[in-house]
Amino acid sequence: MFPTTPTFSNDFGAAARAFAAPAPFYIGGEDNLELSGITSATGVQLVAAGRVMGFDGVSRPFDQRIALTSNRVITTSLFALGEGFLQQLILYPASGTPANGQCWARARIVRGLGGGTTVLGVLASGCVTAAQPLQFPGSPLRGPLDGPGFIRSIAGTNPNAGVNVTETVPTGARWKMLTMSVTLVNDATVANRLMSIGIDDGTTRLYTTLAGAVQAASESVLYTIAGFGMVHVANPRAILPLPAVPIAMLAGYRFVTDVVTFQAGDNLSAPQYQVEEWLEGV
Amino acid sequence: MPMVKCRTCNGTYEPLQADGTRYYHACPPLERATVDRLGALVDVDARTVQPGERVVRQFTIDRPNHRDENLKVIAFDASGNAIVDMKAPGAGVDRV
Repeated sequence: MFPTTPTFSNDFGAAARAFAAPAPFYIGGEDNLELSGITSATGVQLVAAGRVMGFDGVSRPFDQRIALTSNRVITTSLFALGEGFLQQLILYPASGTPANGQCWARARIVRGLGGGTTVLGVLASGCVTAAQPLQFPGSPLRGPLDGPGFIRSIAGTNPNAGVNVTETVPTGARWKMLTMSVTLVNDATVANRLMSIGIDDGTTRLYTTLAGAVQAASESVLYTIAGFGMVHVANPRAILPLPAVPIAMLAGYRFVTDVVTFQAGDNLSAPQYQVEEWLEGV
Repeated sequence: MPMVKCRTCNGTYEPLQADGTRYYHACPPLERATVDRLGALVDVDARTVQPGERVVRQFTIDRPNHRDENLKVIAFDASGNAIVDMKAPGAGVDRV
């Protein structure tokens, strides 16, 4: 039977006795704090701060920091905490201004400080902002894909004349497409163009939507793709519908324009698009 | 940050977006089509398909010397963190 209150017992002769531990999370001398973070924001420094009570009854604060890269690749560092009881821990970004969903942090207790380590426990994990830290104990454990994503408005590549738009989901990201606008300016070649916008997995097309009307020579039309689920009656080529059930776009997936009877002198603008982005956390 | 122009595809883009996040350019692929020309199946530039030609399939191929700034893991450091590099540098970029 375990006692309901965690206890620490020393057995130093006549002074041996049992007393209530100051916190339930015992840190052995070989155990260390593993601090990890992922972000797409620039200049983020992640802080893990807290207190460990040693066997001498003294509560010692700690403050460990790592600089995160803005490329959505996980950064991890190990820190020695010393033997004792972990009383509390907080994770927050000390610099940079990551928005909600843009910075994910995790603190774990591992055994070992170099080479192979063994994970013993997860203290805290989830998205952090300057206003919303994570705390142990207290904060629920969340993965980087939990909760709402980070809303981004992105200016894409302005392609050369006669080249379609291709935008790729970056490494470490997962997107849900919200809207996209692009202008097609036709040259004088007499032929009707038909705007088509699709989503592929990097190789194979998953979804295609077509404009409701063609675009003649020398015309300029602004096209918008959005999740309205319908085509605008008065201007059928202005809005192209996204699928009612959003397609999860993983890293390497692309959205592309595919203009039917596209001419070498036709010119697409840089697309401006809005996505909800999650950090994949791999 | 100024815009840059890809030497491979001539596309222009902003490497650093207004919200502070990085933009990873990847060159658009070349669009190809397999068409039936006088009974023979040939792969052609999709823009050169003639009216009335039967298109058997459409596909894309990577542009020669294409640039893809998205990241790939090339090694791990002593701490186990990934060392990354862009997938394909292509012909580089110029400031515009």
